[in-house]
Amino acid sequence: MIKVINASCLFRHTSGEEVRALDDVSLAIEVSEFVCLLGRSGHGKSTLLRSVAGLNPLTSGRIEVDGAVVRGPGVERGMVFQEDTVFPWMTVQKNIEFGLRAQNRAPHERKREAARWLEAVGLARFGESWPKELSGGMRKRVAIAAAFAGGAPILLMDEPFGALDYVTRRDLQSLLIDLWQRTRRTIVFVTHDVEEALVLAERVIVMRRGRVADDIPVPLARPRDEDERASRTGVEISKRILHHLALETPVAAPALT
Amino acid sequence: MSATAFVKMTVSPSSLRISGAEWGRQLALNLAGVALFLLAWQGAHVLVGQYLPPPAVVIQAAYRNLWSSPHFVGLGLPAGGYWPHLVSTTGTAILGCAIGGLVGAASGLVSAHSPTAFQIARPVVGVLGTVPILVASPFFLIWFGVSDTAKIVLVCLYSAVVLHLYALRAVEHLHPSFQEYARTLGASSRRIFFWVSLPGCMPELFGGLRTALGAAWGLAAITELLGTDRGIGRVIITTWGVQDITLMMAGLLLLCLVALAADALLMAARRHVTRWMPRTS
Repeated sequence: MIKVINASCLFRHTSGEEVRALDDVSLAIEVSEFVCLLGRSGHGKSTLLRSVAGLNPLTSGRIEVDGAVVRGPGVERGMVFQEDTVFPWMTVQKNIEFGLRAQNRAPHERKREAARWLEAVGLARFGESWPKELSGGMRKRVAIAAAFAGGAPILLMDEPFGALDYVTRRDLQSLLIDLWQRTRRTIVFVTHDVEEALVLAERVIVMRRGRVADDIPVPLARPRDEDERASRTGVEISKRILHHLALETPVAAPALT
Repeated sequence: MSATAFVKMTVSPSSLRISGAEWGRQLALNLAGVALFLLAWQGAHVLVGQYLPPPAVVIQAAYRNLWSSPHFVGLGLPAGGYWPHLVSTTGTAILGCAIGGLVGAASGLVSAHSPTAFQIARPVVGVLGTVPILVASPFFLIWFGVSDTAKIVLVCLYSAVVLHLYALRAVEHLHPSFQEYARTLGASSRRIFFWVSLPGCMPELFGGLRTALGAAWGLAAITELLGTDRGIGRVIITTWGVQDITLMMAGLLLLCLVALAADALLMAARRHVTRWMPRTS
């Protein structure tokens, strides 16, 4: 279980202006939940995720994972980045084994785990390939397999599918849901895409100006196809999210000549 | 975003991977280039006359005097033709580059990871990188005497500065997400260094090594011109003394061939070490 307790994070711009990326955020995420952190760019969702990962120190407050205060990255919290972090100088197999190798696990165990996760993401034949030989979507599958293979019960994902085309993104969403249902790991997934949140999440936490603006359960049936998302509940949740994302009432702009 | 967009590549035309038919075509073009060069040389000989001997004469002189040379003995050079001098200059260039490159790459990588080391190394590298290294060579000859040590130290120093700067830049170009990702998987700092930073920097380190090795031949030969008992530079300055331009040019030609061969070997090693990199076509 993840507990965020009065977490605040201040950044100082080069202009000297102070920005509250996180403003007194408190929330709890249960074991095996699939939570989406949703919000517009610059409203604190990535900062919160990176803080849980231990990659971003808080200015005040604390984050606890199973009762222990987060002071840095830990093997119980895996992460999938928006950027392509698959190591290009290692084969796909070596990439998947990386976490287990870092944790000093025996070679035969690493091989077995890698084979299992390559199979699970549909890349069983690509173990000996170099990342350069794979498409962007396939490399994302490698990144997901590597995160799962690392063994972390909590997986943090920072807009992992942001750079992919629509169809590839839908494929990977299905894959991720499939893996989540089979493993029941806790997944915290950052996105700015309302549709993506409706497809994936059991619960959507809407972030706005560094605060939690809303916390919405998503009781839709799976698979979350177009019909399911267009159901009354689906549309209501969409509207509620969009309301929070809406622009401020625009100030009358000076006329341009 | 592509996997390798994070790794700034230094791909030169010679490292391009090519198929069979394309390879034949390229070889033909390369040979045409060599032919053109020899033709221009021959033409220059016609214009300049005896002070620029034609390629056939120079190549013949290089071949005849390679293993043993009656001319050299008469000039007070050690017996054995060009060979011992080639070995000496080659040894200087490669040994200097290897030691200097290792030291420079290590100091650069450590500086890139430790702000303390960076601040300590900065003024040292700044001074060494600004002083024209050839101007320093007379001092090395005074300090180390007329010996191989002076030449090797000079090449070492230059290679260390080049590799230090290339290593710094390589780490800068490596995306920080790679290290963060490795940390979330439980890798220690030492392992991140050896498993992430080092392989990620290899393409640029090889680029630096190529720059350093390319300059090393000249640095070694010029130190030899200033004073030493062995080396191609020594042969050139001695044969200059008796106005034997053919023997001077033969020495230069042999040094060029060795430098080309060394560069080809280095590029082959780079292709193997960085075979994970996409090749631009």
